[in-house]
Amino acid sequence: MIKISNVSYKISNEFELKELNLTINPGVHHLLGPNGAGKTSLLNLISGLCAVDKGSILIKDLEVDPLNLRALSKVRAYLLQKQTAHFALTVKAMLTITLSLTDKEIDKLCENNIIIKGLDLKPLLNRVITGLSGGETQRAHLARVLLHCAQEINPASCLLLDEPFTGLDVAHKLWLNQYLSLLGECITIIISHHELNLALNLAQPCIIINKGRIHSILSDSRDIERTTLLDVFNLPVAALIETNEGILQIIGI
Amino acid sequence: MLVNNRNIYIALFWLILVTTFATYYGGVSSSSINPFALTEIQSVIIYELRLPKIFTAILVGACLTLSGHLFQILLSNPLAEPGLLGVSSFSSLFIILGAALFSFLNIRYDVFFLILSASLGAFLAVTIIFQLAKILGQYSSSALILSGISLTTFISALTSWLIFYSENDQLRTFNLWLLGSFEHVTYAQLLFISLVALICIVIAMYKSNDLNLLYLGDQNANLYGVKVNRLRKYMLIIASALAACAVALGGVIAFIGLLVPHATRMKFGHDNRFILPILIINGATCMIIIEWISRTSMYLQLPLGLVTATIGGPFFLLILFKHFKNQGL
Repeated sequence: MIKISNVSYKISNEFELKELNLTINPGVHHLLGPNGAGKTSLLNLISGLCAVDKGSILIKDLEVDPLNLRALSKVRAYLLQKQTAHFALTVKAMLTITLSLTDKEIDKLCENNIIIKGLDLKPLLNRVITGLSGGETQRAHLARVLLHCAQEINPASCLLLDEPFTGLDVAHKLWLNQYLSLLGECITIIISHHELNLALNLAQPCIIINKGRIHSILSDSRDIERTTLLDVFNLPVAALIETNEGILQIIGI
Repeated sequence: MLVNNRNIYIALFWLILVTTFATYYGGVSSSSINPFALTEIQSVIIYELRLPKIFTAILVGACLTLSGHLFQILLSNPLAEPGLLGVSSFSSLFIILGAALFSFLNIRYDVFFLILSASLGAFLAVTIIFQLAKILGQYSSSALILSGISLTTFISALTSWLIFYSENDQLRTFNLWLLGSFEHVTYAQLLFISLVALICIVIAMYKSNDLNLLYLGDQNANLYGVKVNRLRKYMLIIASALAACAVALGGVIAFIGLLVPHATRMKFGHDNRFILPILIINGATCMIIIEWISRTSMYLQLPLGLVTATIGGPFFLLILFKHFKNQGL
């Protein structure tokens, strides 16, 4: 569970997150909003990467503060939007380092792990991270983050994903969705992304933010209203259709 | 674990082999010595002339290699190296200035002060490079290297002026620090500097897990619980101290700090928990070989900087080509 109370955070003179109040229970939550709405900033604040100007954030009972990073790293995992790589580590070395395991232990882990299988990581294990394609890089880092909060390895209670679908092909996207729904039964997951149709299809809670403020919090993402889509996301009316089941969909994306 | 231990033993085996070889075999121009039939004069040659140089080579190689490796990780730049960043030249300049100051004040220039002035210079260089890179653009790879190059240029100009105005006697001392040489190293100096180096090495090994996470970038390391800014600050002090140790012993020796870490990482992987000891041993082995070449290949002693630059230049180009092909090392 994540509790955000009265959080303010100034990014620049023009833009700030203001007076955010949120309680996020276990389950998969979609964090939606147009570009520059403050999605990444909010995730940075929850993860402890940035310090709040005012207010407080609690993950379970742990105060989020850049001062207790070590303790925080055990209770949450966070996939950054952009990955930097300057050294030619192999994917395997990356996993060994982040999970603090030895080569043999990682071999054993990779043999039968659901995440490694689901993301088809086996052929990538001995490739260097600087030589991977965009989608492959995303898969490797996703595996790193998911393994970090896989319950049998490290029972973390919170998973933050910033645009995890970027670069993934359809099959891996599908697998990721299924895996996250499963994982969401025990931990809190927040996914920031732009796949509105996906959110409109799934009956999962969602948080819509716009211009640094919370626009609305819905317990079922299928309830996103037509006016919200038009106002917040600036969509033309013609782009919206309603399916036979009464679900809104955006055509042309 | 087992496999990695074996790698360390193999590296150690090579180190011992090369050490023995360099001690007794004279190569083209100097005399070879049979270890089982030492005459009195030969044992003097070994204990007074060759062994101090070989021990110095071991220490300098280990210091430079570890220092280069640390700089590369801390500045997230695979091309960083104490020689390239101007750290070595800055600390050698400080040694010369320190010598001038001490002779002016008529105080004995002790090994402690030697290290102190070298470290001061190294640390100042790192600080300047960091400030420049910060102004130029967020500590980016190119900003760091460019500020390093500008600093090196500035220092070389300064040293050129010093040489221009120096007397013959002083010139020889300058040359020693600029081109690298293991002459005049005493056992006392070796002992003191090896103590400093040992402390630095132990600290670096103790922090190897945190250093590992820096491979994934500052933000990710932060997320895994590393206080990146603090780690960077302290480890940069360690890396500068190591570079200073090397400069205090043998002057500016370029490229070892770049080539050995690269070759080692390519062969043995990136995990600091395992490669730090291998790195140190390999650095020592390489330095002994270079020292041996400089001592034996011609009728007079070649400057070490000359040997490393001759071998290092082409090798550096090779790494550059590989770097641009794979977008990273």
